[in-house]
Amino acid sequence: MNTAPPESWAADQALARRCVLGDEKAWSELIRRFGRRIFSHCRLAGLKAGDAEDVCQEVLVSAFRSMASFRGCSLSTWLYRLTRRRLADYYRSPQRRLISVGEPLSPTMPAPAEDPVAKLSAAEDAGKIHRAIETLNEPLKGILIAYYLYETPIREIARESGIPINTIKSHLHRGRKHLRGRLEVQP
Amino acid sequence: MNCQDFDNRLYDEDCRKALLGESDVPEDMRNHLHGCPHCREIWSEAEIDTRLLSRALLFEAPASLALLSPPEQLAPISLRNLIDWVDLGRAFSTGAIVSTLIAILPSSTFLWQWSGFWLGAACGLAAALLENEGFSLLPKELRLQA
Repeated sequence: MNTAPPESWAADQALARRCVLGDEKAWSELIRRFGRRIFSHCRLAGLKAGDAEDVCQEVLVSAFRSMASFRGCSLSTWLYRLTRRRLADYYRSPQRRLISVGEPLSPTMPAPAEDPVAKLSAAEDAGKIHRAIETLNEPLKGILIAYYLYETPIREIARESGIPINTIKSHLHRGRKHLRGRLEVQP
Repeated sequence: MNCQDFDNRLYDEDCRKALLGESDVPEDMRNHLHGCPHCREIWSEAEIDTRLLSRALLFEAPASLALLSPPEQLAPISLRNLIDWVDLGRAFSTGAIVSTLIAILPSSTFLWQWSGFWLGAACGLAAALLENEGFSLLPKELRLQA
């Protein structure tokens, strides 16, 4: 088995170092690549847009402050881990304000299709998926978010969660089947 | 490749890229797909799901996020940002090893050992910093995942 770190890790490491050294372009790149994912992760965890924005900013600031300890994984895995920890802190705090992520549908939901009908359909699908994700239990929910939202490789998810690779694969398979079922069944 | 192998490969990174339309279908998968209608169906479903989920899980980020202050305005650059406890631990260990090696020498003195400790620690720290900058003293194939 090849144990050498992937080339992308070196690129991530370089980006992290540039951020630490105050390179504004690197910081912007970090936000461009991961800001939306972290924000979406917070929304999928049930936070209101305003709270998700606050938590997202806190994650990015704490990422900067602890970037010297970043190593041995991809930035997406590392930021996923930080976001999960920050969300756990948030849930422990008394001020939390939770709402269902699926409703009301975010007015700024991405809709890649130009056609208005397709646009509506994409937004409806996204809403259904968000509601369906909300009903999932851990570790299935976390695995789906790590794999599809953060695009974390299976091997890293396995290492991070301590779950065997084959179990992760069957979770992904089950998660897809569940979400597909929800999309087909829900009106 | 049989259907079980095909299933096992479906979530690998090269397959993810192919499912998203960012690269060609890997050769081993393509060869199997040609002769297996069942796996063709599995691939098509995975293609739809991967594209849908990669898009649908993303919320539009608020504009304020892109305007988040550059980090140096949030916290000044300090040595703590560049070196962490793991680096310091490695430097200390290297220093200890070097001073122990010097202690074994017959003509060793306390001063020599002490100098050896600091020399080893400095080398360890330099190696850690170089590694943080993307250089490594070990050949690529010998580097293990942390």
